[in-house]
Amino acid sequence: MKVKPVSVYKVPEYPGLEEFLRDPGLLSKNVPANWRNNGIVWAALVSFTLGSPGIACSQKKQPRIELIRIHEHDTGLTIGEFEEAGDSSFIAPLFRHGNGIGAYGCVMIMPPVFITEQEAKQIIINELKKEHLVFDTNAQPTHKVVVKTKKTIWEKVKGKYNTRDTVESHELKFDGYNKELNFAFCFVSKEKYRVFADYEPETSSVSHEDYIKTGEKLRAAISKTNAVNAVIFYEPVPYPDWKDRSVRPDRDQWKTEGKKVAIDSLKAQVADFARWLHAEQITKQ
Amino acid sequence: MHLTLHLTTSCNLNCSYCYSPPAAGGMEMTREIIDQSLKFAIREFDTNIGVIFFGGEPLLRKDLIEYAIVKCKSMEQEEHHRFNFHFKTTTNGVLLDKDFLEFSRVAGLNIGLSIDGTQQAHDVNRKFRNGEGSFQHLDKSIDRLLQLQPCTNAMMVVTPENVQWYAASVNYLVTRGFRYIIASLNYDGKWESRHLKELEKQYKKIAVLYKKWTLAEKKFYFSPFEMKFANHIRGNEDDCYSCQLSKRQISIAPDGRIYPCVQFVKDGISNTAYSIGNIFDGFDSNRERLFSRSVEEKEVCSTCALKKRCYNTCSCLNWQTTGYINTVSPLLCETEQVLIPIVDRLGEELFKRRSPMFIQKQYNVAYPLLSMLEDEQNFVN
Repeated sequence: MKVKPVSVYKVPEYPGLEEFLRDPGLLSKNVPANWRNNGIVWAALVSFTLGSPGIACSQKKQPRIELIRIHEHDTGLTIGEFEEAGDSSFIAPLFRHGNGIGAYGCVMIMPPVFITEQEAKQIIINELKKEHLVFDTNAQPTHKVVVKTKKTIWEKVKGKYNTRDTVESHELKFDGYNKELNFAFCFVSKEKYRVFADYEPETSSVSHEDYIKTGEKLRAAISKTNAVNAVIFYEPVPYPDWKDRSVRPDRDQWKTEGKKVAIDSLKAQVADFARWLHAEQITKQ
Repeated sequence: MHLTLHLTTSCNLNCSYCYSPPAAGGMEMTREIIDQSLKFAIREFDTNIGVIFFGGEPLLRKDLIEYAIVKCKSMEQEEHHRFNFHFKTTTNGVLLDKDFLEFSRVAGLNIGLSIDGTQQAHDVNRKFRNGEGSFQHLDKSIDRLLQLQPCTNAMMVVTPENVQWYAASVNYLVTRGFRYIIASLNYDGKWESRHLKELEKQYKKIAVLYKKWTLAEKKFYFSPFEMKFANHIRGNEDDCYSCQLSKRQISIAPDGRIYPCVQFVKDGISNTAYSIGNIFDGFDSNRERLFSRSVEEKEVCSTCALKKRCYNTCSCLNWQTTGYINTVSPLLCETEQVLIPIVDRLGEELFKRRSPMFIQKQYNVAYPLLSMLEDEQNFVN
């Protein structure tokens, strides 16, 4: 046997990724029946690949019922809806810029890019300053917010290994506070995620982190206090923009580009928050 | 990053195609080497570390698997989950008992089972030292394993001796409940032209099965086909499927020496020329030297129209078959030229028919995550 190079090979008549993505309808129109019938998978599919879900929230003072709808981006159809009881404090909605879900482990997925907690604080403070909103990074609201978190502990009992669910309580330290408005902000960073996300051991080689889910959890915990006005920002966790690329960026290149995308997304979250504050007449424009 | 711990070079089987038969006396990893390997891993790598238990037959040292996992869990808890370990092992299945399966469930240890397909296909190569086939010894554990770990990988090896049952074996494994089938050819085998003709025939039969299952929206993964679809569809990104010789995975021999891939460890003592450092002192210059050689363009392939679809970049396969990490195996060249056109005709047909499963699996970059979410839902329910 010898190595025999092939001189001519007909290009296969199924498209490469770049060509495929020129027709976004191909992905949304061809979905396995099992996925259509599975609400969680379908919502994730919409969120990841068919377009960003929109979230409509009303944030009036009590009585307040928050109606959250998830829309399919291209058709506008409502695909998910739930209600959340409100309270007497102002809790801003999560302003959705960035996927907020990161995955590790599988070689098919680019590693997530994160903003450090310090960087995020600085970005948020600077962006709020542009809106004449001054937040103090050393101050905290008078009322404490305690968040309960489920942790799964792995232990050996009477010679056998087992998992045990425990509940830990941790105080939520805000990243900035404006005393005049009695308004605090918190950024769900990688570090906060480790403390406040409900942890379960991963049994797959792919593990995922849902910053939006954890952000919603913190909102709910703050809401229960009825005493703190707050907004939660979250790690945007961007992915490469496949539609504009013929080749996947290399990992180092993506670390730089992804960071820029993440920072822009966080700035957009802050800009939305400033608009919301004005719209709710919490500040005067 | 994946860290493969070669816990022992001993084995309870005597498979004809084994690439790491034990040296006299065998070698066993100590607990100290495990401790140091884990410390090395968290020092050198990112926050998500896959620990793979390998051998020899790793289940001969269940005690070390248990020790290593306990150590990892305690390191995670001490450091407040600053990093995650996840665990895998590849076993011949003979020692898979109820207690170990229960332990693996609790510990989150993913088990890959070495099984070549039907009993005929399996027993022709995978035998005990007395010549008896091992199929029946693992057959009884399969149902229990799949019940606890529905995503278990079936690791098949196809050789000239069992190629005639390749399609039947894939069919058997999928029918039995395996959804992830990783099939490799034994490139070190004595392949003749009649075997290559048979291989082509078998790939065509598998293509028929693949089409049937995909159109029925059955979820499964069959590595040689998926990889060829992927490297056409995703083009230059196919580097993400390669190990990149020590950049994405390393192997630790029982004595603590680091090797770029499992195949280089061999018996743990006779191939130190390919060691790239040790867990005490870290990597040495051999790591970059071997990596640079592995990515050199292969002159003989430079004009080939299939060079970007081909496994010619797999350094351990090249080394195993030619003795050089950057010299391509003629057998690989032949078998790739058989496989690629069959996969491409299948891809054309599935795309033309707008198969939802084909489209999502091959074109949706979030497919692994979506698939995992679906599995979590299904297994919980």
